[in-house]
Amino acid sequence: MTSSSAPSRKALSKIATNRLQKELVEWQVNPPAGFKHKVTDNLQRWVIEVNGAPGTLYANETYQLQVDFPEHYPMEAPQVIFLPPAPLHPHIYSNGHICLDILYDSWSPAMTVSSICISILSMLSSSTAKQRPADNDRYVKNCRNGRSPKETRWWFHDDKV
Amino acid sequence: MEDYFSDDDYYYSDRDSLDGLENEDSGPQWASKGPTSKVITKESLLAAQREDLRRVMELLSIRVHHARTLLIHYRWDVEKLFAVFVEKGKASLFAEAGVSIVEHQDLDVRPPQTVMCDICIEDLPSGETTKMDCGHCFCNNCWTEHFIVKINDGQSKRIKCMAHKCNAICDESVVRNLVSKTNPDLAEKFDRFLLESYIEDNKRVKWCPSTPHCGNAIRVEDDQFCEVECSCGVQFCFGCSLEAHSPCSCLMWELWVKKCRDESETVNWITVHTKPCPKCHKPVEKNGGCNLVSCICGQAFW
Ligand SMILES: [Zn+2]
Ligand SMILES: [Zn+2]
Ligand SMILES: [Zn+2]
Ligand SMILES: [Zn+2]
Ligand SMILES: [Zn+2]
Ligand SMILES: [Zn+2]
Repeated sequence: MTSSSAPSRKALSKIATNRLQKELVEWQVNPPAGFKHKVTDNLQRWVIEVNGAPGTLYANETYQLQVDFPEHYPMEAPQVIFLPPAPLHPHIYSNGHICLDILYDSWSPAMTVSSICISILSMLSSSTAKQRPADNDRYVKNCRNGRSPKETRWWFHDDKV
Repeated sequence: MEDYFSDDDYYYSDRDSLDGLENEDSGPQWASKGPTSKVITKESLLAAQREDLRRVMELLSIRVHHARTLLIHYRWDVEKLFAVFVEKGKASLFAEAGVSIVEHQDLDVRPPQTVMCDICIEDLPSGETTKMDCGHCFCNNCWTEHFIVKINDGQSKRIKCMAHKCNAICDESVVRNLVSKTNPDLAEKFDRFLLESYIEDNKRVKWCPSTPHCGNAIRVEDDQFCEVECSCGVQFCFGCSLEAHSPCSCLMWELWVKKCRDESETVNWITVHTKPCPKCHKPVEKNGGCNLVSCICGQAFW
């Protein structure tokens, strides 16, 4: 077990490949509102543009999510981070790591990239203050060797934000 | 153990770890090695486990995998389990442990010919799908992959259903059947994990700490802080699995041993930066996020 942040270089399993192709088709027909997938030929890494919802603190701002899929997706959760600059948010660290339970312990194979995007947008939209988590500096320092957020033992927020 | 705790960021220690920490206040009552402990050999392990399973199956009229899920949740403490049953009733006993026993109400005329699996998003003949006790149905390929990932991840004892927010624990016989079709070695590993849970999750049973390992475990009847003797001749403290150390407390003894190994730095670090999980007592580090932490054993705490 290495702790590099690079997504596992293992190729996607057959189940993962089939499922991602289907998700991609579904995305093209019916993309979640506020998101744009920058299409590349790399099925294993998606880069998705997020537009802050109108009427929220992040209106008119655009951020980028990077989603890396492991060999056994969707039985294993994808790794989801914001590319710099990450939005200022009480549950988003300056290195782009996101404190959101469905990305880790509460992941279930029945979830999809779309459902992740919707959760992240609702997390952004419900924010009432543009600030970093209180433990940002300590956490980011701990991650400086390129640790993946999936290796963090997350203590999740309550449901308020 | 390395199957469970491979990541050094988690700061778990092995089973010879800080179990003593929470005993500090309660002040262990020392008992001498008496007839209240029993040596369990490799051969009698299965029988001892079966006996506990049988008691729970009979009392609650449930099948073996439900009994096992309950017992793992209650750390093989049959009395505790019965007490919760009496106090809170069957429904809440089951719900807490992730056991779902659905009265199969779907008296639908015929099962549909094909079923769409929500995981791989394929239409499949219903014969290639499996419905778990919670009522969630997915295709056998997806279930199999899910089981393999979980077993390899050291989570054999609590493999949850794949549906979102479903807390149900998968039927062990389904796991065994599906995994053994493609991966018989892993199915064996799964069975070994379940069997060993009787020792590793059981607060009344501990492996004998002898090296090389004699293969035995010790079961105590009531006093968890006694010193016991294995049939191989090793005497140890049941509280911390270290050599017998009465009247010194487990915590003090552990600190002393660590200090002797010049690891006092580590001990300080662990006591300052971790909290013990209230269920399995392993120290869990807070290293990100906010309030709730959940331990790999499944217990969440604040
Ligand atoms: Zn499927
Ligand atoms: Zn379910
Ligand atoms: Zn022994
Ligand atoms: Zn002790
Ligand atoms: Zn635990
Ligand atoms: Zn957080």
